[in-house]
Amino acid sequence: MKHSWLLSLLWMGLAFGQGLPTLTPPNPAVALVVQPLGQKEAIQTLAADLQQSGLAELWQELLGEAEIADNNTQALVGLLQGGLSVAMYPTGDFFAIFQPSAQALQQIKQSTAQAKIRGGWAIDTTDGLGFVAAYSRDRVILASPAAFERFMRGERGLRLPTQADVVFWATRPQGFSRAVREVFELPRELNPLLRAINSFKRIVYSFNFVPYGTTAELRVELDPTQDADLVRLLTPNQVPWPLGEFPIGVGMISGVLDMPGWGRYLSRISRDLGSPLGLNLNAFGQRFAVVTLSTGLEELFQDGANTPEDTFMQLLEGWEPSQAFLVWLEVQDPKTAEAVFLSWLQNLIALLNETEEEGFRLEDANAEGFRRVLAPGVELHYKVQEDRLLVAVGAGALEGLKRPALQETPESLSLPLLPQRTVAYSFSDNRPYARLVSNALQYATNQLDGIDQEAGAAIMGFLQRLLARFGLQHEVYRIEGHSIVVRGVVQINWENP
Amino acid sequence: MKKLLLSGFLLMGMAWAQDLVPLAPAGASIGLAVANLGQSPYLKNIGQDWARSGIETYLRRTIRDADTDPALLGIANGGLVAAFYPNGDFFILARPSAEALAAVRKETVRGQSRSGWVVSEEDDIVSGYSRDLVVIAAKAAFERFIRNQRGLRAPVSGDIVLWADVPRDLGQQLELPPRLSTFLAGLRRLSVGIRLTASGYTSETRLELNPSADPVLGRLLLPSERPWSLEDFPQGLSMSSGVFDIAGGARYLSRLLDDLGLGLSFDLSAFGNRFASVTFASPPTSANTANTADSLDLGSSLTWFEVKDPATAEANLLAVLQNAAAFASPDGEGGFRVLPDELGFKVVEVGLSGKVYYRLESGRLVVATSPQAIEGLRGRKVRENTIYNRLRSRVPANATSVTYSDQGQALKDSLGGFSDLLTLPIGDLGQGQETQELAKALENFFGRISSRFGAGLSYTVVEGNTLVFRDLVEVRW
Repeated sequence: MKHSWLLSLLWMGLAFGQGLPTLTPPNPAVALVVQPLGQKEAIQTLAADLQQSGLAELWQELLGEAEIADNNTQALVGLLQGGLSVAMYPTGDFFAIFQPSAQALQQIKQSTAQAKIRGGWAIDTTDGLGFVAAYSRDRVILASPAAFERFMRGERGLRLPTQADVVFWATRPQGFSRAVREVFELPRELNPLLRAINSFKRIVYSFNFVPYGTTAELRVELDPTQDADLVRLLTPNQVPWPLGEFPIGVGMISGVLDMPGWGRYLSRISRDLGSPLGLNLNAFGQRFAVVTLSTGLEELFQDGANTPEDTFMQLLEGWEPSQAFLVWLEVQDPKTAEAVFLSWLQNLIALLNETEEEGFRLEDANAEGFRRVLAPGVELHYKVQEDRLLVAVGAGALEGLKRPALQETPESLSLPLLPQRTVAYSFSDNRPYARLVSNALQYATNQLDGIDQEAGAAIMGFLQRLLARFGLQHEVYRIEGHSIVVRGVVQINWENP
Repeated sequence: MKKLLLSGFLLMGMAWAQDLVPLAPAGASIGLAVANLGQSPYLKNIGQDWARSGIETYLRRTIRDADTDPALLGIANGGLVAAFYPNGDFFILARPSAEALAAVRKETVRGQSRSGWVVSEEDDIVSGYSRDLVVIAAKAAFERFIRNQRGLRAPVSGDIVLWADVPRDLGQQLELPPRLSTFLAGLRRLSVGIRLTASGYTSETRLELNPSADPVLGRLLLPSERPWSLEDFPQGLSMSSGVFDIAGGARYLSRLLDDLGLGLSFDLSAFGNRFASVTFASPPTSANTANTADSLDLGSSLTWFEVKDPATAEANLLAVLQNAAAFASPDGEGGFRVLPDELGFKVVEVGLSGKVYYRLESGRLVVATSPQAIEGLRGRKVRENTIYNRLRSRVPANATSVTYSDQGQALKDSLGGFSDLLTLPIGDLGQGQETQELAKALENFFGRISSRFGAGLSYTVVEGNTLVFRDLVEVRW
């Protein structure tokens, strides 16, 4: 037990692992590759934060209590310094290879009681392990027996779909839906659903540390030969409304969504599955935008409103944030869209309303043309315009309309140039969230005492340092052939103050 | 067994016999008694209608095909009492025609004689006959009858009476969800009595409630307000005005359905306690909206609802229509659409059911189901109807609802396309021709009957914890 615990811990404390994918057997269903990151500025910064917060020291103490020799702990505390390559195969086999530091490897060698040597690898022969654990001069392998045999036969060489610090991908295996149908003995009626699932050929997620933060890309590759309607809906042709024209908030998105098409598609699928939804969205259009005006946590941290104790207890007891946001939906038939919207709203309110009191109430339009909807726990205004339905949710959401447009603020400078076939893009400001969470953590830490306080203070210290580094963020959703590609940037200040 | 079922069915046929009731063992929770209607002067012509319509011919042939003597059609010619007891026993006593009695004698093989009755027993069910009566009963009930433990009493009087008690712990017995149990505990007894008179018939339906078991149901069904005056509404085939707490009713129904796992919610809290409706003759259906299995013909009517909060009530109405449309339209067709106003009304297209028109006026929401109905708003008022004016004195001042109708026309109207309706669902069973024959015969019969019906007036009043519904229908016998 202690043995495997130690091994899993080592995943965290890796040395460099260049070329690890070239040693991994090919054709995985799911794989994760982490490049050696020890030299990245971001990692250096995180390590420094760890040291300064006292968390690194605390961790060493904790490891000491776990009866690990002092001279080895140092080897284990080296977060994300090395690389790793982990793969799962359609057969259910798995293979993981990584490159620990020399000290960590020494520790592994010492704790391995019996080993036999094969092709330059020492294989742990402890009974009942259930998988193969092996080490060489500088690398460690954990694998299922079949995958390890492939490795020994020389079946090696993982092809990465893209180059990045972290790459994760999952591929739909050949004959996937047939296998699912047979294994779970699914009835024929579920075929439409399987075709829909089968339309997702591969997803690839990649992540990079860059000098100004992090970048990430998510690529969803679709197969139009499976469910052509679904693929058409997921890869629309229209252009979203310009995000810069909407009032600035802490989070904003403008995108294309073929609402009538989705209504028809979901109605058809649900009918094929035997429980028709009857979702008629023909009155709506193709575009939407959402602006989140506030984090919803502000009032919790207003000075003098609450004692720190109250605040913390409220958070623990599942306090619901009072977010305010604005939603715009394109409409083709304003009158019908309004009626459909009101109908859903009532269904939703009736569903959520547990009280015996009156539920949904609607007021006549005010001078600005907004109608107010009242229900327990709901504060909502809406207005039907010529081509769009505007919904303002939450207290003070209407005030948000008076804010300057994003394009009139300095934050708009962070917006990227939009490539062809952009179908959605978003902007968010992480700073208010970071500040609020940071405050909450401070309150929480103050409530602890004794040894907990020391540990708590160290953890909070580290997280607060990390949170303070966050800035703006944006994502662009683009169609490339039959793929949806989401590229995002998170601004993080890696420089040390 | 088949014969038994068939004879059971025949008991529902034409008949009559209050005097039989006291013969049945007491303590029944459900009872049905039909007096000796065979001798009724009023029904003589109805019997002729029945014979001429071809139904009787059809039935006799069908019964013969089922290897049963068609003479059994007369099994309850002279009256009938049927009683069902809380322990599951039943007791049926009927006075057959001489012809039917002879058939019963022939059918009863290996009969034993018991205190003047010749009976045979099969599967704990006793059947037999005396000099002029036949009996079918559970063995235990028959034993009580033979031991003279008789004396059943009907809670209402009439030529045809029907009553059913709701056992106090029915909900628990059936292991129903709590709210449904409470609902059943809130009902005590339903009884119906129909009496034939020279000018037609009257009926009285009494729903006895137990408000201490379900106070909400009690408040809903025993209202204390008065309805809008019927006289101010336009005249159609049928006009009603009544009191019902729509908001409370919707809340009550939602909770009941919620308990049954049906996640349907009705929030109609913006509505008030009064409503009225006027039904007009259906507009002729055009060829492309002809009855199909999917479509629901809304007919031609006007309905007024009292509203407390007009804006919310309008939204409530739209939600109900939108939800209805979602289920009344196959994918891609029809659906829900708000159309341009017509005749001063807002117009909503609801799936394949067609258009619904509505308008908010002071304190009321008016819903119309056809342009003809809207035109009807400008027509004559009920107060100008001489027959209504003759009958209105029968309605007590404390009535909580009133309905006045031209029964004959209404009946004719609702029977339009009756034979199509009947043949549609069962047309594929290879009995198409036979079904059509029966449908035609029934249509013929109801057509004859409806021409005999005249005006009808009904009302409800609250008497203590009982909701009483009285119906007065003019029939030209």
